[in-house]
Amino acid sequence: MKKSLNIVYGLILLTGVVFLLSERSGSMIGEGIAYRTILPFRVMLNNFHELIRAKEENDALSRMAVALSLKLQELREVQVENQRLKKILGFVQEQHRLIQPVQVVNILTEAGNTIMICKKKPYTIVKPDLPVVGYNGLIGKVKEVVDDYLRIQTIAHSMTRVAVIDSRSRVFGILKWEGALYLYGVPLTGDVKVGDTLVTSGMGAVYPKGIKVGVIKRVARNKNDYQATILVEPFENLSFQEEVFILVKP
Amino acid sequence: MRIFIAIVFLIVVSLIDLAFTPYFSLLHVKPYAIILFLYFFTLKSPPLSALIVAGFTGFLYDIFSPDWFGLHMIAFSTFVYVEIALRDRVFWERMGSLIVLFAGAFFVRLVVDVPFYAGFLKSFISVFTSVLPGAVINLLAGLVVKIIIDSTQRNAL
Repeated sequence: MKKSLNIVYGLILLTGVVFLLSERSGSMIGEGIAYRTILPFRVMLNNFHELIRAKEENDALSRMAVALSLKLQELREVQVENQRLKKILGFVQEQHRLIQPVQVVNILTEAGNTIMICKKKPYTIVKPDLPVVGYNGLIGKVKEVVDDYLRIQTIAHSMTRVAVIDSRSRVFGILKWEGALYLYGVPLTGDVKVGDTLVTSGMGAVYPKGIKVGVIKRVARNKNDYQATILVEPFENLSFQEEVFILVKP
Repeated sequence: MRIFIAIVFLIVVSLIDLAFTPYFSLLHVKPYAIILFLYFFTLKSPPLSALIVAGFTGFLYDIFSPDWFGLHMIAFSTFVYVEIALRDRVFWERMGSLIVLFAGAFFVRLVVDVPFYAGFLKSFISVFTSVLPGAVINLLAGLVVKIIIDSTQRNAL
């Protein structure tokens, strides 16, 4: 083997060993060179990786969109079938309601009862006993209308009663505020569990069917009572709202 | 022209190894296409340029993994140096000569991939989970490349 080859190999080996032993200086040299020369290519490759990832994500989202579209079609079919069956059975069709936003100007708590004062737009017609909802669920009902101001009696009010059903087991009950929200009228053997969602039952003609109200937080079954004590947590934060929505019948 | 092609090859192979490894890895084993490149480049090029290219490539790889800076330089140049030393003693036309590639790949991976700092057990396990399968992959890839090179040379004749 040529002498020059041995010398070159020795030099390379020596350089490698020096880099390896003085690890920090080697890293600094590497980082410096990488930063100035190779970083732009690295960035380009990272962008390429990002592009590939974005494409994969896009494909996944496309698949999801198609699946959801199919599901939507299926649900539309079910809706049409439901309407047809209701018509055959002679059910009274629930009127479609308009959503009327109103601005909350004050929230009052009187003796543990929460009342909201809201301001509506001029010339919009709002009558008492119309249901009021928030982004997540039921707030209460309109109690009084004075000029452009509304007094809303929330579900956190001792005078409010809301007929609800458990969305899972369809067990019926009445919600009542007693410092906290309680569900009454459920027998000890009633099928209610912690975590069940309560929705309005449509009974009582104030609240339309199917509005989410709250979730069951605790169920106590005392053998001496004839009904279970059920604590409910409302979906809406009743102590703070910026705007709420009135469901107006057209 | 020959140098230009070699540089293009080097860039492509480095890109494959350094940037696209996640897309090419088999069973979490890095392909290390650079070993193949160095092996065949050393066979076809003057020894001195092969050694310099090996040193430079090692330096390039060290830049991308600066934790043990210098390790790739030592591993690649040693591999090429041994191959040059065996040049006159091996019948490179035979398929059996690929055993040099296998041994070289094994050596490079042993030096570069085995986490010696993590203790004996981990190092020992990684010989069987990373080094050996990687060397086998290199051997198989080398076999394919050799067949392609041989067939093109035969066609040229």
